[in-house]
Amino acid sequence: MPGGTLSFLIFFPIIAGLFIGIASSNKFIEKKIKTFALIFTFIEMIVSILLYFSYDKSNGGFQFIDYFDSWIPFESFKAQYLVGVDGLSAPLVLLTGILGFCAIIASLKINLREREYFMWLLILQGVVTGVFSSLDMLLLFVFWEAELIPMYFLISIWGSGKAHYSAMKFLIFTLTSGAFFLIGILSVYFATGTFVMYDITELNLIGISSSSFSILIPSIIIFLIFFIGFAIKLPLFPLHSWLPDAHTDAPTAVSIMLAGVLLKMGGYGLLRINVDLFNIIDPSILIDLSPYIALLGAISVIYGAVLTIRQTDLKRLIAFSSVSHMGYIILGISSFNAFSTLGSTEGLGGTALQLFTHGTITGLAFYLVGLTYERTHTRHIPHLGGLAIKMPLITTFFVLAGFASLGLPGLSGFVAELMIFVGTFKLGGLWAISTLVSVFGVVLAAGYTLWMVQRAYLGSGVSEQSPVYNDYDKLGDMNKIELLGALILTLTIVGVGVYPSVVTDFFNIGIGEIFLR
Amino acid sequence: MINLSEILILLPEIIIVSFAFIIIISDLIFGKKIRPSDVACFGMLFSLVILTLIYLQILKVDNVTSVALSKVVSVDKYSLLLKIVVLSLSLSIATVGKELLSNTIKLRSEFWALFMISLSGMMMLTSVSEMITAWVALELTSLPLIGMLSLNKKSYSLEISFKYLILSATSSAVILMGISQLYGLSGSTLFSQIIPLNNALEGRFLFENSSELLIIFALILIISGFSFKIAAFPFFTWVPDVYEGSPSLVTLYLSIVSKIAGFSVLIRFLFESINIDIFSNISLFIALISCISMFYGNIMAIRQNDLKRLFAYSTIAHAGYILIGIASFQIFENAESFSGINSTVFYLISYGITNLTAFLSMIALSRYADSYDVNDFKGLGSHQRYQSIIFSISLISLLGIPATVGFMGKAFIFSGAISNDFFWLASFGIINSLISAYYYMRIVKFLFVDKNEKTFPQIKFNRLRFITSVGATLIIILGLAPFVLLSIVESALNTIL
Repeated sequence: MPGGTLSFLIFFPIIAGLFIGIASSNKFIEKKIKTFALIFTFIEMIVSILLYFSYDKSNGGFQFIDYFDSWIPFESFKAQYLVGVDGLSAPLVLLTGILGFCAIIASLKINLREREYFMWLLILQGVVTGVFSSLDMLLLFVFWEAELIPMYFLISIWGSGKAHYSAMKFLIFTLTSGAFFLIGILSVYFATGTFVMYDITELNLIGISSSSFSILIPSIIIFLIFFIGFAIKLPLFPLHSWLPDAHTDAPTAVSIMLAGVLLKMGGYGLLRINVDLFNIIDPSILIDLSPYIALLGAISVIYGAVLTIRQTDLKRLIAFSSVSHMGYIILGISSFNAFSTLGSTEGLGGTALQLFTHGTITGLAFYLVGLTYERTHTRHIPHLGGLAIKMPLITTFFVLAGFASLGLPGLSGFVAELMIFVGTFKLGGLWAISTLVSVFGVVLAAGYTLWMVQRAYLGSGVSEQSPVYNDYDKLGDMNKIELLGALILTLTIVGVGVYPSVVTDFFNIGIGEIFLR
Repeated sequence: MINLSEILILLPEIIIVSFAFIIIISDLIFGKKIRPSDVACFGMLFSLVILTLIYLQILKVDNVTSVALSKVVSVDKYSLLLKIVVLSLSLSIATVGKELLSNTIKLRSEFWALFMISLSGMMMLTSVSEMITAWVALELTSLPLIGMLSLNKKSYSLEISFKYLILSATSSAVILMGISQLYGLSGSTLFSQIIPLNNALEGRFLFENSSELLIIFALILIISGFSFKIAAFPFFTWVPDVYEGSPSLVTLYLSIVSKIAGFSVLIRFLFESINIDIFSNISLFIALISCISMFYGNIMAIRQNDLKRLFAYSTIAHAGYILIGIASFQIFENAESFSGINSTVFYLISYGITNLTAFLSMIALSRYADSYDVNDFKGLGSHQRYQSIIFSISLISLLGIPATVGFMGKAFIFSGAISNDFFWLASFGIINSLISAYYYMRIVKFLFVDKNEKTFPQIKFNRLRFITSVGATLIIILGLAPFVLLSIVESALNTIL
């Protein structure tokens, strides 16, 4: 791949978005906004796939590095533009590329203020790619916060229900998370004198090392500051309350992006900074805290799953199931010391894989809910029923997404959850107890998923009280372009489930390098 | 003896003052044929050109770090930079004066003459290095402002100007008290000679038993007095009322130019006069007033519907952020650590640009909405798209979200605080900027998200649109590439280090 490919992936959607926003006062472009957005994101997806497969697995490390050193050339406050991907971030960049395209497909029915809508959606995609590829902490933070503005507008203008309330709630929670993050990176910076996260030998850049880490604040406090910041974004019980609101009121495409990639920013931050960076700085912190982290993860899994069962709104249901699934990530991270005691990294590998698979599975689920809602105009489960007769394809895909989400073998969710359980159970003690508790999350997941599919899609038809009743005969299935989006996501789910090493190879490189640094 | 180079150093101020008289005289001679704001603009432009030439060393002063009038005024790169900032912001304000002052002001030419005199005081403030002169310059800025406030045609303008007068006089008295105390202790009024840098307290002072406590008390008095100019705790109660009641142009002038000038003299005073032992005591006091200003400003702004009042509280909060930078000045101790002074000056300039853009856009939009009530701004985003986008950019910059200069300023300020062991102060500052997200984004929501069927009048503000466009461009450019401004600030500060 030529140099600058990664920067292209970051800035192409942003520039394309601005192009749509500004240039579309032109009559010709205005009519074709959706086509343009589709083409732009398609290019983005293809480039991200190419980038993914041209990552050199035999060498590992950071590749596709782009570097510009005088971004902030203060003698005593030096930050640089430094992007690159390793085994951990390459699959997430790929995920962003795929979901970005599907999000555009899911928003082809938008007809309110199209220009701005597609502008913000494209900018969002570029910014999130930036988050996954920044190697300079200040740059990472800049992308991290810049995602807020597109999301705020997308939820509050095109959302439904209490959109303003949810958008403001999202904004405040994310800003809080960002505030913790900022305090953390500034503390690390003044302890070590650099924002660069790792040594990058080919550029003679020296990253953070444990020898130079000295500050008055104990490093465990800095660790917790980062942890809370990312836990808000993940979200982890009890900091999750923004997620159901934001999901429920957001338009379909934004739900896909939110569940698919924005939540992954929290998990990625945990792996990148709380695990990776603190393994360099002071590994004992994570080892000491990990039993409690495991417990928190288990609580989050069960709490999320129990709440999910009670939901009657399709979107809200999937949102709460996300809380449950993100609990597995916390559980997996607690298996950090498996490497030092047992020499294995399944838990962390499973965590990284869970980030990827949950992105595709929940992305698909929201995509299909969005398609259903377009037709029925309600997401209230008791008002639905018998949709399988009218929309067989949507139902098929939905059942598949549900099975993947509950961890059916052969689909990608199974691999990730199994790896996490194996990784944590091996450690015994509180880890094993937490794992045992969390396994019941899978049982509950089977319960809520199947029950939801049964109530909403199966059955003989809608009840007479339902608002769908009159239009029931007119309901139709998905069209070809919508089928394309569903197929892309299904392909990744089945592909990773059947042949996991297409992704796990990358994650193993990425996770393995954590312990080599 | 005053020589030629000393006159050259003070030439920009001399030009401004003489144009104040030219405005009055031309009014007497030509009457309404000449617009006083144009004459004022011309004077400022002239002065700005001279200043820039001196700054770029094309007009050679003996050397750029020269002192004039027996060390009372020192014109170095730092003061030249801030003079340029003050003057160009005033010039932007005066340029849109024609569009903003439509029929709200009595006695136009007197108003502009007072404006120029006040401006000359502001410019002096950036370069004074002696306490009595600083006080005189401070009064020179305040007294004309009292006149400007009462020239408003509204009935309550006298009340406003009286309020300003009383608080201004009180704060001046407090400053004078501090100055006389310091003079009594040290026998000198020059900044650099008040307190010896080498921590040799004994022998330096006239009184044998003069304790550190007395010096600290005097410094607290002086800083409190300055808080009137910079709109921070404790003298900040005038801000919302005066902002709301005065004509928009004066509000703008108060919130931007006056504040930058006040901060610039405070920075120089603290920087040149105080040694590290005393500063470590004082910095806690500064941190305290910073916290109170931030918290009060942000909490009060949440409930405001009147945008002028909202901005008044927001400037109080921003004074608090800048004071974080001042509290973490301790660069004497260790040259390696990140100094608060660079970040403070950077923030000061970025705040000037951002607030000018925000305020001007707010005023323009309020003319369409025909009120300052934020509820009347509903749906303006689709009617006045361009101006609303600029307004939103500046609001996002005030809030401090990345890709704007406001974020960079805040990041530098908080870094300075953390590197100087003010971890709690930085955290408090970040929490406060979280609070401010609510009221800034609420305005953006009213502009773009809410719908309104009302028809808005068609008015054109060409000059205002031009200036705010420049401001918004600067916000984005400096937000993405802060090194442009940083290197200028650094080279300017090297002259007083």
